[in-house]
Amino acid sequence: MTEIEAILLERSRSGDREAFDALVGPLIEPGYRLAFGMLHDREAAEDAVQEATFKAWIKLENVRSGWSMRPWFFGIVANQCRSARRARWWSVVKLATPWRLSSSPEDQVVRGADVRRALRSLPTDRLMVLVLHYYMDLSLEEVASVVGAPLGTVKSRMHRALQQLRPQVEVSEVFG
Amino acid sequence: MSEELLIRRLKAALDVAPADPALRARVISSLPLDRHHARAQRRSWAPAIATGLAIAVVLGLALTNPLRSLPNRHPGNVPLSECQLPVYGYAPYEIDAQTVYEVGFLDASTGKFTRVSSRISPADEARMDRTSPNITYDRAAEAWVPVRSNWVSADGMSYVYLAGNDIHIRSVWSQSDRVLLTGEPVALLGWSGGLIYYATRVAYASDLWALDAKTGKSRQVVPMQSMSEWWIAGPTAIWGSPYYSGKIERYDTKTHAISAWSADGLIELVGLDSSGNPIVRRGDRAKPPGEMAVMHGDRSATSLDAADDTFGASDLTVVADGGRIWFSAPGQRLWVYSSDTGLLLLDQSSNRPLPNGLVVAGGCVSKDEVSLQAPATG
Repeated sequence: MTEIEAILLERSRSGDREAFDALVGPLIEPGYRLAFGMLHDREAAEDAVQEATFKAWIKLENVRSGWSMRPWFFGIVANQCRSARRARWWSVVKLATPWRLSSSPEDQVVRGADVRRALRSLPTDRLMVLVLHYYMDLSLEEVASVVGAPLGTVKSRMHRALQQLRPQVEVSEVFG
Repeated sequence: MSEELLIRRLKAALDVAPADPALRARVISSLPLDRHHARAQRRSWAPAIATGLAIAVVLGLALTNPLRSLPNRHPGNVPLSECQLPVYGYAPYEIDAQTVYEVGFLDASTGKFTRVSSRISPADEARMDRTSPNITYDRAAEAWVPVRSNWVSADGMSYVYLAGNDIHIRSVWSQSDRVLLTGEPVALLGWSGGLIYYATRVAYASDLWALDAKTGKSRQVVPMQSMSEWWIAGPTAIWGSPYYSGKIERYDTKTHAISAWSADGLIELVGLDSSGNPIVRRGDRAKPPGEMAVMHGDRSATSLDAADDTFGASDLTVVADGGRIWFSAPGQRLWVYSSDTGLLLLDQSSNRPLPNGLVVAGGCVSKDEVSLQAPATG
């Protein structure tokens, strides 16, 4: 944590919303991306980030000196997504698109529908490490910090996720 | 596939819904000013909200119950998060070698199935095809009726059905029954604009008739045409399809005009949305129709599904529910479409015990409406 972050944290703890905005605000958009990667639903992702930000606001005392805000906040978003995924009974298959004259496999590949379908089938913990590392560009160490698991566990989840994903999107290789 | 390509595709697939630029401001401004008491404040609101909701529910029941005989609840006004979906299926047991169906409500949020008593009369049960019944939850009458949804009158107080070659009309509550038409075999299409429509079919030809339930008189509205067939009665039109044409045909019940609608490739009529627009499966001559779309006119349609294999060639049940459309298919597969959410699929991983061969029997109702239903015994 930088010196400025430490000052902003102290001011946030005393109830300064502007300081909190300066500290956590820049993480809201990436937090939304993380939530969308997990939930594949715009509204659900916005809800998850809103709830996570509220939790971050009331749990600022949990941040220890030396901690980086990014993995801490992403950890809260990730937990929120875990709960949302557990609670959700419905999953989005795909969004409506205008009438198309053709719907070839190439079209589907371009739109990424096949990959999103495959991602939805992943268990939450495996999907989480994929999204954090490959989509959010977090290092494996940061991913471990966000999900609260040892580095070895993260690597193993990543490996299994890619193994599980590969056959389901294999067809796209032809068009890659 | 190389890992690099897989990762590139993964990023591209996820990078489709950028955040609302106002999200940050909205989230920050929604935070309580006093963060030390925020949690306590949130908890303290809960009883007040619960009390408010309870009052609203009580008021709602007080206001709606005296009007019970009127169709006072409109399909589609129950949010998906509060939806109790009427469904039926087959219980995993048999009595006297007969398949036993069961009816109930599926909580759209939790997937919990609440079995209730259908109270379908023994006479109706005897007449129903118990291996492939058609059951509709008649929301206005708060009753389960042994017919498909468009055989139920617009006010929900009666339904028509076929018994042999006869068309009957029956009151939902009093169960009083009257024969409206007797004689030659007909295909009963359902209600439209207060009239009951049916067709007679001879080989590959068909005509269309409108029957007035009040007078019992019927008149031919479309003469016998070869290579023609009428299928579904909707709110403003009767729909059919000329044989082997890949088109659908619309008879406007007001203007009596007939128009043909087509799209690129073959189309197959599977149902109607709440506005009476036809829901079709589209395909081409090389493969059976699969892609689902709602048509708004000749060569005008909105796809519900980007892929052509989501629904496959399954035998679908389609239920219009205000702005939503429900689909059910063999294998306990359920989908719901609305223009706001796109197509949603029941997550099979929930692995909850549901009746076999689940079929949607109506649009969403509220939990309060479900609580008025008698729970099933046994």
